[in-house]
Amino acid sequence: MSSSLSRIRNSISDIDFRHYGWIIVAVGAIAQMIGSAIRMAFGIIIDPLVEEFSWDPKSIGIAYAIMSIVTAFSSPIAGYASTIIGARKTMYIGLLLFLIGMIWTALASSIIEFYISYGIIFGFAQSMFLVPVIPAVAVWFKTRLGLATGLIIGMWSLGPALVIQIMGIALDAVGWQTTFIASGIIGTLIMIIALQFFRNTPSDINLLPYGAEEVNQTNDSKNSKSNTFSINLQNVIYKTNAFWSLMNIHFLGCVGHAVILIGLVPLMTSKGISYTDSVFCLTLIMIVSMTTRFITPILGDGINPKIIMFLAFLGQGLLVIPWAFTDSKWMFYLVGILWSIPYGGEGTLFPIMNRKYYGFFPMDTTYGWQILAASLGMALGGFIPGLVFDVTGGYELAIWISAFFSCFGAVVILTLDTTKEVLSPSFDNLQ
Amino acid sequence: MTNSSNLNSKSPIKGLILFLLSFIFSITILIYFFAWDSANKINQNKDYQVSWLEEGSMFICPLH
Repeated sequence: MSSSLSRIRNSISDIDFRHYGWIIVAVGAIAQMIGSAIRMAFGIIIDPLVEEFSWDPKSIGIAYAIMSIVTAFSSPIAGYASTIIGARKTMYIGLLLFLIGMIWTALASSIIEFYISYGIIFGFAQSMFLVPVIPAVAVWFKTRLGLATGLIIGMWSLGPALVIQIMGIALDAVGWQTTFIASGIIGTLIMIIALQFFRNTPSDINLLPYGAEEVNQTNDSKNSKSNTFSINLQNVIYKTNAFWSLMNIHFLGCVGHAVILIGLVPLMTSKGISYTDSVFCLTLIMIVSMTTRFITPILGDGINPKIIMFLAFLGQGLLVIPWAFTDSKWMFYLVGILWSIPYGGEGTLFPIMNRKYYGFFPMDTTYGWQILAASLGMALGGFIPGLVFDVTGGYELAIWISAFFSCFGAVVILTLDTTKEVLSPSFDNLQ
Repeated sequence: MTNSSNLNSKSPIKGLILFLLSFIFSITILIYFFAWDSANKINQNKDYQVSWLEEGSMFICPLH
């Protein structure tokens, strides 16, 4: 492993940042920022909606649940659309839905209208916007995929943090409706400009993917362009254990951390810790996890993603257990910092694993299915703390459930095939 | 290395079984806690009107 680490260290100086692939990474990062802000913006509009329409928070929360479910089930559709019509067109559809959703949500006057605008329209917008990004970047990088995805996935934390702060300030100044309309228009304009620089594949502008050699050019461009090839390849992928296990692992990992992300603040306040201190613990987790979100794909790409993923899941599972026993604020903080290291790395290795198993291929549909599993995991995990509290009057049991799901994910990782061999190295007969 | 024609003849039994295990476990947790919650509500208030979801979970759960 030390030789692998030194290999990573030595190769960092060799990176060619003049390659057009880094422009695609920048566009992908902006898309992640705007797309993930859709989900995170929900928290700041609950109070204004309660004040203006007297809707109860539980009814408003249903819109979030609808959005999560629509995003989950439309993710494979978004992946398939990206395979057939290309990531750029799919993201344009997502952008149009984003604009309609922002304006309609701001103008909604009934709860049903709010469910449609925020729940259904945004649900589709989010999947159309987010699912094609990582697979599109993967097509641009034959090597350095870990660094490229690390930069984008890092935006999952940084993007919402920045956007929510800006929206929060705007909300106080001009009200939630103007904030939503303005954010929709500004976000759309930024993305329209960014998408002008986006290209689905390197061959669209007569370039090679990063790290590809001339000799592979014909094969690479053929692989990137042929829809029949992609569909036939996908049919082969469905028949591999890795496809089902990676979906399963993503689901289990997301249940594991969603329980914590939703249940940690109530758990801390139930133990007499102030709300502000409890929220600070969650903020600490977000900050520390941002670094591992960035670093883990790079490590996984350079070393062995299966081992890194196993350690991340095991860490995510075992490190939550002290929270079930402690009442000390400082212990919560300490465990929070430790837990956020594996938590940040847990979900970031899937594009790398896809690459290791299936080689250089258009992973849109495969990734879409993995996002479906992850979204369902987030929905179930978000539901568990409240359910546990209703019957036990505490959150400790939820902690054990979180630990179980993450550790079971680690066990499933152990059953995966080795990542040292591509499962399907030759797809020529699929043309 | 395995080639694509070999993959076409294989079935992902292991992956599917583990996937199914996770699904069953998730559903079991939901049913158990829903049934527990419903049983508590009925014990506290005999006139409590159970929803179809609560009634269904209590019917399926062998422990409540």
